[in-house]
Amino acid sequence: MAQDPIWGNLFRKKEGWVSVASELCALNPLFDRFTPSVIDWIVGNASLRHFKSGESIFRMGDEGAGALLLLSGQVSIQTGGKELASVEQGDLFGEVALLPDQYRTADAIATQDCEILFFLRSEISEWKENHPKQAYRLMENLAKMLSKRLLEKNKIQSAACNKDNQHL
Amino acid sequence: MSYLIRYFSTPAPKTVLVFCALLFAGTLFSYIASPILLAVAISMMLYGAMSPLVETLVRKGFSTSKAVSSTMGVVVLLIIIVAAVLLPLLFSQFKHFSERIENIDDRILNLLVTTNEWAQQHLNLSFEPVSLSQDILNGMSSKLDSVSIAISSYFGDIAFSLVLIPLITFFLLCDFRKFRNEFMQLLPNYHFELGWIIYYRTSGQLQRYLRGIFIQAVIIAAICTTGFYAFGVDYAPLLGILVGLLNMIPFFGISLAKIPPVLVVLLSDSPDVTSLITALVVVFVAQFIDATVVIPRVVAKSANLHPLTVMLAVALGGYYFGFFGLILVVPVLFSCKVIFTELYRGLRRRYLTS
Repeated sequence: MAQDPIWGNLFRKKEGWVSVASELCALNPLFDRFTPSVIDWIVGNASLRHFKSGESIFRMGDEGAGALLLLSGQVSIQTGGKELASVEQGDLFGEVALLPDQYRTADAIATQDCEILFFLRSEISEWKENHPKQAYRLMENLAKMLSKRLLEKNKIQSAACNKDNQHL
Repeated sequence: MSYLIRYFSTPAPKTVLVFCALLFAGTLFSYIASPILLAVAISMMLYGAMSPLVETLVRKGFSTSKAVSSTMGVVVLLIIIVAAVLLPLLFSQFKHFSERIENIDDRILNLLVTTNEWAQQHLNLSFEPVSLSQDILNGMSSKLDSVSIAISSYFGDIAFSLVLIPLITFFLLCDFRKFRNEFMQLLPNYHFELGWIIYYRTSGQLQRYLRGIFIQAVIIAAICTTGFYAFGVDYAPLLGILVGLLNMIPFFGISLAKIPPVLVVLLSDSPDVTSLITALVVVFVAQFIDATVVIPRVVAKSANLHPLTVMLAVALGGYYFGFFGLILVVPVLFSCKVIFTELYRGLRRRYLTS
């Protein structure tokens, strides 16, 4: 009902990040074919967190509570100290944790001061129950993203194999 | 000193430390909020019961405010109708029962004289009915005094809460999600995800359990009321509701629920063994259906606790917090268990992967 409950002010002041985050989400494949009002609702119920440069965001093996969207700053995705990817503004990462009981597959470390939006699985699950058609679309988009990532990984692996064969 | 720091950074002591801090914060909050704790607890239960309806309306395209207002409106209307129909009946039955209790000494004496005659005839045993009835009455009067004080204080609490409960429930239905999210924002970054996972698992189990015992109480009350009516036991609705409420008490409820019907039959104008057995059979049937159909489907999986733990916790909960302590101690206990287990699991995993 009230967008701004009276007790909300006790904890922190509201910031104008919702519209920025909604615009970034609209460009993300996870929210493909979603109406702006739905994106606004999802973003409005997400949690914004601030991380200092060098701070660990999550670690490989931790149980994930949801997907993350980088609003500002830069994040490095690593395993065993080796960087796998660099996450820039507007990128979504850790989306595997939108599925239940999934563990983080890599470490994420803030390389600059960051603003990160958490799309929590608990929130998304409640929303999914109320909006089954849109939930199906979200899951479809998630499956597409994960299969694309798998394809990219396979390409990299096959390229590495080819390189090894050429050396032999 | 460095040994201590190293020791407390291992998962088990760290879990105990964090858990104790949480427990302390919870106890402090309960102490500070004790005057309105009952109202908050009942509002939370109503929120749990009403939120599925609000969600269904939202799913059908209603705005949250309209969904909450209409749900609250329907529930308040239902409460008024039920109160208008049921309360005069319950009050008249309660008054009638109280009048009977006024001449309880004669009834007990008659019952003991009859029992003594029967025992002399069939078992060759005898006792002194007059002195025994006096002993029973003395014991009962001291117990009844404390019970009546406790009941009047409960009604005082509930009357005070009746003003607060609808208000708190309304705001919870509207803004609980926002309030919860803001509260979770207080967690440090390092524990943010773990905090949400613990909350999600605990609240899910708690909601399932409370919904389960509520459905259980309604089913038991309905079966008993119908059964008592059918077999002509006095005060059927009053007894049915009482059995339903007592049956909610974990472990002891199954025995306690049989006391009111037995008392009513014994205090009736013509107490006889057949009526006593009939009343007990009705409660047995209700509890059998409860144990075979209701509990396995709606309650059992939520509260995975050892029977001894439940027994001790219920005894202590009842001693310190009265009737609501008896009912709420199990959900509080298994919430603590889930929080501790998930906290330990999360911290251990972190420790092993670091």
